[in-house]
Amino acid sequence: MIRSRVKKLVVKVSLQIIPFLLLVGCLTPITIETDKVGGSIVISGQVSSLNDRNIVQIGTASQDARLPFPLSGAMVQLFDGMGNDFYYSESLPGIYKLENFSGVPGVPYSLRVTLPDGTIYESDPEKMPEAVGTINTSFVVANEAYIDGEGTPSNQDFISIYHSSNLIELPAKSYLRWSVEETFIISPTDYPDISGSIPPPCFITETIDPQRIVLFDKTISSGTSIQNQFLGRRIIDYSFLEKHYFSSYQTALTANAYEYWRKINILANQVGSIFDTPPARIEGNIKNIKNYSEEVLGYFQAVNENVDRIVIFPSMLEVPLEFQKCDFTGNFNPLDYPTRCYDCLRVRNSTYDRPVWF
Amino acid sequence: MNRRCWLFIFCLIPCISFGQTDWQAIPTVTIGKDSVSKESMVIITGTIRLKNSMEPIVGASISADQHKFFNYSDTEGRYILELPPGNYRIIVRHLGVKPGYYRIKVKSKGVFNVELEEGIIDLAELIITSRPIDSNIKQALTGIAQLELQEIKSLPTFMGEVDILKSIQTLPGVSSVGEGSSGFNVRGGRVDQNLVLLNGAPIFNASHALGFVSAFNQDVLNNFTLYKGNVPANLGGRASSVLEINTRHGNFEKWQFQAGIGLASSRFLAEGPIVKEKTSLLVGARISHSDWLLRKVQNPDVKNSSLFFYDANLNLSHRFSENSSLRVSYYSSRDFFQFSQQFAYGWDNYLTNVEWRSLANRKVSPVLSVVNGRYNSSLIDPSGVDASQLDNKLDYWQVKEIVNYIPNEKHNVVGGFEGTAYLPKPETLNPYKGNTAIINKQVDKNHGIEASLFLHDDYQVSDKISISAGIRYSWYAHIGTDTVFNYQPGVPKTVNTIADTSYYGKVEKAYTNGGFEPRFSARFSVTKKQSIKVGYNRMRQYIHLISNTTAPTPVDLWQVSNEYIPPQIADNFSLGYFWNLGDNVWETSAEAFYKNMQNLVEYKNFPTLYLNNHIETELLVGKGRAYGAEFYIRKLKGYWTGWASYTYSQTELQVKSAHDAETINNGEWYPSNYNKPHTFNLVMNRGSRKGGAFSFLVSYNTGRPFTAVETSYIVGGTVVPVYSQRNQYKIPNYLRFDVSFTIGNVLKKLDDSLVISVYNLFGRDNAYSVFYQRPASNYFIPKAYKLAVLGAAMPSLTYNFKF
Repeated sequence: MIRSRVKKLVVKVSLQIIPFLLLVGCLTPITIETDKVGGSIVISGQVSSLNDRNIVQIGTASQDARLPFPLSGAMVQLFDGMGNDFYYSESLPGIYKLENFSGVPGVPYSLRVTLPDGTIYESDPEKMPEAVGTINTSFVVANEAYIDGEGTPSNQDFISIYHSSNLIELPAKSYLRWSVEETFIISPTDYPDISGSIPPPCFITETIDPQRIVLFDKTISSGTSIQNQFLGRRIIDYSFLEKHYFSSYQTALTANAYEYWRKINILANQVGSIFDTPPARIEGNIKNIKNYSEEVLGYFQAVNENVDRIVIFPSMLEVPLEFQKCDFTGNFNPLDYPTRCYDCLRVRNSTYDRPVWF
Repeated sequence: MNRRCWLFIFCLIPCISFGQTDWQAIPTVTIGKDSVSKESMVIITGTIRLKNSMEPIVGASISADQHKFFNYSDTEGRYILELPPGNYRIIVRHLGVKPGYYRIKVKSKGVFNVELEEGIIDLAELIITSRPIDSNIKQALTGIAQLELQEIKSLPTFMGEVDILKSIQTLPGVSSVGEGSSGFNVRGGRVDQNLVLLNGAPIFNASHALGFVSAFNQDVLNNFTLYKGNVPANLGGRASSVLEINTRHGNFEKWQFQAGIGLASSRFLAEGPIVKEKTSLLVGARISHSDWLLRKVQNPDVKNSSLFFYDANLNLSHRFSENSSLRVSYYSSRDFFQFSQQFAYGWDNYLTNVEWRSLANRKVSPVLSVVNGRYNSSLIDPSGVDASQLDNKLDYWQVKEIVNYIPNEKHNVVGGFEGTAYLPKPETLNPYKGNTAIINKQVDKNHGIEASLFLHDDYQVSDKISISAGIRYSWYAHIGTDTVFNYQPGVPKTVNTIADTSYYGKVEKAYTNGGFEPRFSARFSVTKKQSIKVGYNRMRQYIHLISNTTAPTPVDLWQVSNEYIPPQIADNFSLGYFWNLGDNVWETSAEAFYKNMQNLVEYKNFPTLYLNNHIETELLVGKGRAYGAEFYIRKLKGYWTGWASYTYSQTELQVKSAHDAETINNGEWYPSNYNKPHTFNLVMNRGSRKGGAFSFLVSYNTGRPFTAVETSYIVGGTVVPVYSQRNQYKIPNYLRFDVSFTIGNVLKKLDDSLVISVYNLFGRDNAYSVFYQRPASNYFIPKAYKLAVLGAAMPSLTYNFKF
């Protein structure tokens, strides 16, 4: 497994060699006409030791550049190695959650998905890792260079999230992944009305830098702790006008799940160098029980997780927050307010469900 | 470019004049004595050398009676001519030297030595080949590619570096993955299927600067030959081609110095006698100084990067007598490329070759050589708590004895043996410069020995027919000390299917393989200026480059054959039609080829290749086929010289197994990484007798294959692209236009020249690759981007001088 260390270095090489080659080069978008191959079933998700992290997404791959179409009405069962089964329920189209359940480290879990047409898919069993270690989160605010989606460079205020972890209790064959999520609140404009009702706030949860896949393989390192490892950064915008949480997750993976994420990491870091590892399809661990040759995309993992949250209040940021607030200004015209102020559910991933820890 | 610019360039081209040889002014030399017996044919032998240095000229042509009788000199400058007694006008030619004109009267067998002077050639006499001008018609071997160093030096360059490897890619059937890639592909063969020999010794990485520059110093080179079709039986070990590069001996008469100063690198050469006419020394070196260019870049990472290389040649030659000589040649090169504090590559070549040549008698000349080489590579992570260095070292030894036997003018027989030992050191991972969190790791590598016997004959059956045929038998053994994993039968090889292990003691054979390698080529002359050639070759290869990237990297692994990695075997078929026009001013050819390849190493998806002591679990073995046609036209004489080549080729692979895990693309044929069906090159050069030249190059090829994203999905907020089957799509086509202008005699007191070159004159942003990146915002699927790395015109300036 020490080889993974070298792979990481190879990925690093690929990542950095292109800026060098770009000394005299250029990068331009190009249209590649590909065959229309959509329609494959996509099942991905996890059972976690944390009770609010059990989620499965089901969809069908699109035939073009779009993301999968959600697939509703499926029956999603979790089996443990002791003959028990538990049911995920559909919370949003194609998104299934298992509430108030905490996976038990050391127990094998597998998933069964039964589609409305009766097709059954099952995952290979995954034994939830025994230990995960501890994590602490910190942040730094700085004005940093930024290139937007149009390629325009500028300087922006960013908040960067770091973690420090204690790994001393981890067994020798341990595999970790770190990720960070943000959760913030939007309180809509409270227009005066006769009933005096107050519109409910929305809660938005997003993964920060989802393509930054930070992995660790204990078998290759003699280190027993990690100090201030960068996890991701977030531009400071209107979302910091109110309370804003960052949740750093330290996730213990099985060896197979680690391999799956390692391959995604390779694909996420393709930089166009002829030294890149050639891309390929990533095989998951889910099969159609009656047709093993059917392509099923995605992976179901059993993870032991630890989380550390930090809360950021506007006063902690020491940078000007010159964004339009949703406070009522005496103007009743909704168009004079940002969309989020009169309909916060329009913000992606927003919900009225307040996380219990928020 | 507007008309005014063209006018400017042409105005700079010096005027050209013509000359005529006055034969009557040349005295006649008598050879032999009046013979009582009236022999119908007599043999003249001799040596062709440079006048000052007494260095033998290899490949010089000697012809009598306007090529009625001709031959060319061997590697020791020796020639043999068989002709009836009588009076002859002799012309001896070689590029870069003044032609020699002689009148001889042959009475009986005898010796006629020739000494030619170095110098600039009058354009009227300029024929840009040192070989006989119709040798392409008369040679029996198919698929020989040769360019003269003088030609290569006049070609447009990248960063001012004259480059053999880039130059041969303008010839039909030779290509590469793309700009900045090391290695080259010959007739659908892989990069590792080319045997690159420097003075007969194999070299394992012939590139500097990640592949942008070749590892050979132009001043040291003497000649080179690429065998891309038929390969003589005395050469072998790789499945596709052989590139023979020979360096010069030092000057035996006087000390000479030359140098070149460029923007990115400079070079120096000194040569001269240690003992006059007995022992000579040549020392050449080249070193980069490109970091100042990087310092000019604003990007702090690039500014803090470093790109360094050097190479050094040392040739010590000693003549024991006219018939016996010894040469010790040493070559070393070093590359180091560091990108900021992010990563670094380092790689070195070391090569020592001791070669003893003798002429036992006029018919037999044995050559014995002993080679020791080493190729080192390092991948370095220089910073952080996990700073590390991964090292690989390949040591190799080679002993070769070749006996050349020329019983008469109709036969040229070569026989001998060759033995090679591949002794790689363990692959190691160590903390980099001090204590880091990295754990030391070491993986032993397989050792192998290879032995070959060979016999080859070039047989001139008649004026119309000649045959070049030979047989090589090669034998290979994977030897201990080693531990070999045994796998459960009938299931894919994985770590989980390892059943047990076998231990092999020191030099104990763990695996053996071997077989015959027939080589055959025949020429049939339709007329004096037209011939048809057919050829068949079998080549076996026992060492493989493990490289799962589109182009090889300096840190790729060399792996010898073992129980699970059988030798690559290639069967090469070729058929060619050769036609010279206009008094041999124009050479044309059309060749078709088919190559069948067995036991090609392929890779599972996302393989783990480094520090893997069961690397066979990541590899697959497949087969390949390559076929195509090459068209070539070359102008040898006149104001403008040059060539155009067009190649159509297809290279496909197939990896099929009973298990899906060991099958690629459902077991169907799929294109190789470097499959570029259409390739066209045009090279034109206009020289002047004052050492000036103008040349340009047009290069076009269709795009190479790549694997594209067909759809995507999300896992935990991360977008996962779903890729097509391997190599199903193509990157855009490639077109480039380069120019070069050489000004001779810049300073009148020096023999010097100034070379101005522009690579990619029109700044076309050719696709280096197509890849996918996800936009900055969450949930957007990856988009395709075309990356052009040399998307601008790249000017360079080099000043060369001799004293």
